[in-house]
Amino acid sequence: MKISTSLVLLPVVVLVGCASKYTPPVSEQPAPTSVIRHLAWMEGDLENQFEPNRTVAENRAAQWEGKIPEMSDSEAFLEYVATIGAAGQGPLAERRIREYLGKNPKDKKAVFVLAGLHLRAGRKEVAGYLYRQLEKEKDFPWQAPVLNNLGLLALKEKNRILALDYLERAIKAEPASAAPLVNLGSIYLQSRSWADAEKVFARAREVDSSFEDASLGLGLALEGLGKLEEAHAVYGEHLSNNKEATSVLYNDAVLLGNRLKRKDEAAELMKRYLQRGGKESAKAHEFIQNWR
Amino acid sequence: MSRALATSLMFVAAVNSIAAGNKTKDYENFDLPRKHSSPVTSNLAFENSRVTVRGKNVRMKTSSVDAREYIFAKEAFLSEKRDQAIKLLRQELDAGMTANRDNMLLRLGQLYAEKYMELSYRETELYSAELQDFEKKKALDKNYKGAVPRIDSTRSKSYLGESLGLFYKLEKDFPKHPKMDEVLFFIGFVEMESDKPNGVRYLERVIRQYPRSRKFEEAVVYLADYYFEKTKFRDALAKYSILLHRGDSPLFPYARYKIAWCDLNLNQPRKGLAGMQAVVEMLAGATEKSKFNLREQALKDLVLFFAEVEAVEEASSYFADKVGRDKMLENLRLIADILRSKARDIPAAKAYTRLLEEYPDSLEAPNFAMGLYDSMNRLGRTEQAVKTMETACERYGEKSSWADKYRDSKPAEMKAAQNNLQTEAEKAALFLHQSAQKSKNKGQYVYALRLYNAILSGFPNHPSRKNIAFYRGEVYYEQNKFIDAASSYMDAAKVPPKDKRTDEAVYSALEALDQMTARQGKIERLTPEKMKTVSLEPEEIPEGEKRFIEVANYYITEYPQGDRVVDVRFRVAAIYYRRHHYDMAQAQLKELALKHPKHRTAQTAAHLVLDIYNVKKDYESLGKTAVEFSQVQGLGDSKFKEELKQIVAEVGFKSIEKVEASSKWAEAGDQYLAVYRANPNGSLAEKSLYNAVVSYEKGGETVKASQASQMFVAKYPKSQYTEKLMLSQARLAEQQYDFELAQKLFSDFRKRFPKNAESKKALYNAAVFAELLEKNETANGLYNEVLADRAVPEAERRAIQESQAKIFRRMGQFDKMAASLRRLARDARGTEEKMRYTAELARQYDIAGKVTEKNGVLRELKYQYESAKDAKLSGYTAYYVAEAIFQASAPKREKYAEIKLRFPPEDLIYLMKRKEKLLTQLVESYEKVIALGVPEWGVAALYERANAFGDYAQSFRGIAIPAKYQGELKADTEKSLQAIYTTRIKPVEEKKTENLKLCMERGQQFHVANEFARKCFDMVKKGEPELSGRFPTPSYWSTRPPNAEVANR
Repeated sequence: MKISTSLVLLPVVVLVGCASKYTPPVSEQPAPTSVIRHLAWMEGDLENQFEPNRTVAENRAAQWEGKIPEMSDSEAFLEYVATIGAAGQGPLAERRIREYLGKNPKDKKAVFVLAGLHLRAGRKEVAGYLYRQLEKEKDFPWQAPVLNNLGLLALKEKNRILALDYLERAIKAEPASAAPLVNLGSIYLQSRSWADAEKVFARAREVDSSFEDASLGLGLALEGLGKLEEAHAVYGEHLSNNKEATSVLYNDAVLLGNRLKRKDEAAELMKRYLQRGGKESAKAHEFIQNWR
Repeated sequence: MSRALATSLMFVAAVNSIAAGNKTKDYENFDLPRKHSSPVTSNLAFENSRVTVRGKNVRMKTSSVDAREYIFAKEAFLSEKRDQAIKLLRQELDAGMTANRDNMLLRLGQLYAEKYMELSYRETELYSAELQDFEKKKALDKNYKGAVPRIDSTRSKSYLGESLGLFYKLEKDFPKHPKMDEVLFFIGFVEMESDKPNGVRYLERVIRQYPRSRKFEEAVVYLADYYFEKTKFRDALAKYSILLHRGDSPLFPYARYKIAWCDLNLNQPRKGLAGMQAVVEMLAGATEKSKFNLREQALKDLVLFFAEVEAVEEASSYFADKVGRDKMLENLRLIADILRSKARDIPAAKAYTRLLEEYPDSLEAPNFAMGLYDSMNRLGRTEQAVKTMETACERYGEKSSWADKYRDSKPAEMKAAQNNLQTEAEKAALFLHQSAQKSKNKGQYVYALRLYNAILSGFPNHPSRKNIAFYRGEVYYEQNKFIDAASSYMDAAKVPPKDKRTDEAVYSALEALDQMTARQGKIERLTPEKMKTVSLEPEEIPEGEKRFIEVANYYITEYPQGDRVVDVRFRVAAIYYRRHHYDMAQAQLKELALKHPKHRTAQTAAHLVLDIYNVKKDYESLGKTAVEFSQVQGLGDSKFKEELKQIVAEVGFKSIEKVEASSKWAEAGDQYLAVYRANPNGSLAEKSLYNAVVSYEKGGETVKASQASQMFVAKYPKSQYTEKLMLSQARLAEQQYDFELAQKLFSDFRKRFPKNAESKKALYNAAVFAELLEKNETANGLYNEVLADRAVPEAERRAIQESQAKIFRRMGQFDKMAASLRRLARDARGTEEKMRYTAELARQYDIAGKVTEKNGVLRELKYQYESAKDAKLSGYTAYYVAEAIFQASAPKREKYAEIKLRFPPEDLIYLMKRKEKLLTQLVESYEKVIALGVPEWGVAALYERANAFGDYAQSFRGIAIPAKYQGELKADTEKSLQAIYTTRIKPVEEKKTENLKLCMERGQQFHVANEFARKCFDMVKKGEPELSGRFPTPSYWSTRPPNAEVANR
């Protein structure tokens, strides 16, 4: 399901206006980034209430008004609850999911959604408990997301060993999920495990080709492995399909300018980055300056 | 008064023509004896101007002149002449003539008196004619408003006044007038007739002053009678005695007769009786009419005198002798009646008894019996009285020989006598019945019953036989003779016409039968236990009850709209019910309840209908009927309606059992809840709500189960189920993942039911959920409560203490956290466990950034590890043991670093050896760390090892040849150093590079991202351009299913 651009345009523009010195003309205003369009994930920290996707969720939730799905339509209902939970209507979402669980106490998908609501409310212990319960359900099909979240919870507890264990199990679970792949790839990048990172990011791209951090991570892994052209190709491919992917744009520019010495191209890309409202504007200007 | 006055005036007018004795009013009405009125049979011939008699042939001759015309003409002539005489005398008196004035006054007074009589007659005639005319008109027209005629005697009375005035004037002006005695008598007579006592004085003057007057005896009799009438018997006696002493007086027998009466009235009855008997004797054989009549009257009056002296036997003999047997019967009856009327019942009874003995078959015999009954009854001799009446009814009843005797000869008299008897007998019976009802002596009912029976037996066509039979039924009923009562009531009912009494009679018959058939006076409802075992086989209906049903059916047929038909129907149905004829009973009772919902029996009927369904175990019909009844307006009171709800609920229960049997638990739960809501205050409410909870639980409807459970606990806090449900609620909350509520409910349960077997578990659960919800204080408190129980298993105790340590850490209470973990470590069951707790403490300090505390713990951990060499390490224990060992090499590493290689050569060799020795130790130390297999610390150890190698090589490279070494010495020294480098240092440098590379590779391989890994990488990749740009971070939480990640962008 595609989110219409107009729904998310305004908040992004506001953010750009606040954060950047460079204000492009309206015609050049960037499209929303793909990252914040992913309602499937919560990006960010528990503490900031996942602000990046909050606005999207609010707009999505507004579409449910007046046509709340019946509980009998499990998929739609759970989607509805997850959406209003993401849109900041946590108490309502919790009430509805409990009603649903009252009728469908064995529906583990609902438990998964409830755990997500607990997470949003900062109740890590409860969320962790529920995820651990779900982890024990070997037949539960959403093991990848469960393990992914347990991995992130372990990271929050500064238990990297456990986090790696969960995430490595998460990426092996089927059906595959892009989130644990990106998360694990990110950790691999931290340990400069370029080859491992390349594999998981590549897999992440397979799962979700539009997932910007997957392409970003893959590019970085390839750079780490010295495969600069391949990295550039990955960035380029992603940008060809996702023009609003500012992080990829930035990294591609840096790769072109600093490593491949194609400074003009790099400068052009960096300008585009700025036009898209990229956050690293100061550094971008510095790069552009250097590449002249 | 006018007629008497007119009659009296005739004395004055006719002067000597009328004998005083013949004009006495009392004698005018006496009947002549019948034998004297019989026509005389004679062969003699007789003839006068009016009649010719020849043997038996009598021929009346007709006058040639019309008698009425003749009398009218004569009266008119006399009146004319009288008016002329009055006119003439009046003129003479008015002319003041004095001669013969006294006689003129007397004559004119007489003429006025005659004129008064003439006019008075006409006035009366006129009045009679007017009255007849008025009556005629009134008869023709009921609304006739004409004036009621009144007699107008004004004219006649004016003449009487004139006459009286003239006589008073004569008495005044001519007191010596020879006719003064008669004038005085006239004045006295007229005044007394006008009720003026002044008249007495004039009559007394006549008696006193004119004993030889023609009017003397007349005046005496008049005054004697006057006194007698005024009950002045002594005065009367004195006046009558005057006549008695005038032996030749024709009024002598009359005076004797009246004196006897005076004696009687002066309480000398025996004297009076003798006087009266003397009159009879005196006048015996008298043929003169007045005397004959007086004797007859005396004989009649003697009845009273005999009665007065109560001389019944004497009277019988006397009358038998004087008047014969027939007349004696009559007189004796009179005596009896008089005595009875005077309540002198003993002689009256004697008289009646004598009469009945003497004349048992006389026409009047029934009256004698009634008289005897009356007297006996008043004497309190009820038994004899009733017996008398019974006998009378039998002897003189409709089919008696007595009746046969008179049926043809004197049917009317006989009928009258019978009517009288049956009426009196009925009255007597009713009186006795009423007396019995009012009296405490219920024996009176027996008498009433005997009379009712006697009447109905003697007079089967008695006009009141319906009532009598009814009342007889009442008596039987009162005596608890219910069959007899019912029969009698039905006898009454069958007497036409069909009226309200008939209805009442039939119903009473039913009541009587009902009394006989009713068991304990009410229907015995089946208890729930009996309903289970009662036989459905119809029983034989006893005779009494069969009879009841027969009568009832008669009643129902005859009075389908009768006032009590519903009651009757109910009773019939009740019999069927009691005798297990359930189909019959149910159909009739149901019809009754539905058609007569407001009748007093309706509610019971409805109850029984439902009971029968219960007995039949036809619960479906039971429920439907209960609903049907509940919709009938006016059927039953509020309690009954509650019961209906209860039944509906119970039936609902039973129907739900079927649903349960098919394991449709959610549906069963809904139905139980519906039952509860239908009657939330009914006796099944608690059970239904509880069952709803249980069914919902079984059906996995946790929300509904929870809601129902909450309702239950709130409404029935003291129920036996509350304890269980509170726990159930908590578990349901847990199942619904509502941990907040679960925590509260488990906690509440623990507080409320501390002695429950599940209480400890509930407390533990409350603590666990509090911990999950990060209610740290609460969780810690609850855990302490759990631990307060010494019976807590050791494993659980350790788990709780671990949780508490975690809670303390969250609360920032590190001392308490450390104490907990140390306690756990102290109490650990083995070294590995001990190390695990110690490592956990180190980890917690590590997370909290408390380096000093952590290092202290690491030292402990290292000691523990070294004390148990064969311990198997894993997880964070291995991690922190590795760190501990790694950290432990730090002093040695520092010491090693402090050794700086320098000349002179002896020092250099020494220092090199020393450094190499320490290097060897360090390598060994790092090897131990690496051997633990913890990537982070393995990489660290590799880095440090490489670093140590590098330090040695760097230290060697940093050796400065002293300045004093010049020339060859310097060259040799350089050569030696080179050789040393080649043989000793270069391999070390290679080892450094090798270790660094290994460090980097292992770091990458095991995804170690610590500073050691970074340093290794940096050192290995030294010179290469660093990666720059934006890096992804591990911050993607999954909130959607994997397949929706893409789909739901």
